[in-house]
Amino acid sequence: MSATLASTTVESHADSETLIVFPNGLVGQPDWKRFVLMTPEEDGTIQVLQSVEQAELALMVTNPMQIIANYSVPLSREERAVLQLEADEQPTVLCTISIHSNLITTNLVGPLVVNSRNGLGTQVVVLDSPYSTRHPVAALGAQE
Amino acid sequence: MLVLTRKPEQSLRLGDTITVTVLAIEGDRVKLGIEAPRTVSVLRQELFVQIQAANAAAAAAVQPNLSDVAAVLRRQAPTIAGAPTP
Repeated sequence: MSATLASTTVESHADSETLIVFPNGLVGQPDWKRFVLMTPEEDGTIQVLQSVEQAELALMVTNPMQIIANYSVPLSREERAVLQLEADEQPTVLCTISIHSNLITTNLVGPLVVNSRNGLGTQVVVLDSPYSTRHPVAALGAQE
Repeated sequence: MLVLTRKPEQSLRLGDTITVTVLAIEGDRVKLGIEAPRTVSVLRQELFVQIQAANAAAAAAVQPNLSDVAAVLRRQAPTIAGAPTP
């Protein structure tokens, strides 16, 4: 299926696109609530959260464990309750990607945590994180 | 900006459920105590602004860079021990 992604048409490789709802929006962006998680690349290396409310709003996200193998996000009881996670359920964690001076960086301090069963999500701020909001991943256009 | 002056031990009430108390003044630092529902996030302003800016930067980056970023990430292997950001 294809959908308009921030004015570019993108083929999504997922069978269906998952609706993700952040009831409280994202940090500093309280209106950014309803997204579809799209998988434009076959191997899912990178995904895109496309807003279903604002056509021009989309975020590149990736699984942080592709970058830091043992990355994990401790969740408080309140955070688990917002996501309606069952006691034995583990959430999906996605970190946003941005580009600074031709460097791909990811925000490891403010991961997006999603209950894949019901699509509820929240942005968690890791207060004692050893990482940064611009953790370097690779140079854009880096050659092997 | 609303400006109020408080002495140590005095408080402010925000809305019906949030109380900010000046616990102590130590040199050039003010120690504040915050009582708020656990559904209300309380963050140091600098951290809030950093995350907010990172979200905005992620939104700005997707359009020109998507397939290039995917190609680079595909070649990347995860670090073993997760070295903290320098």
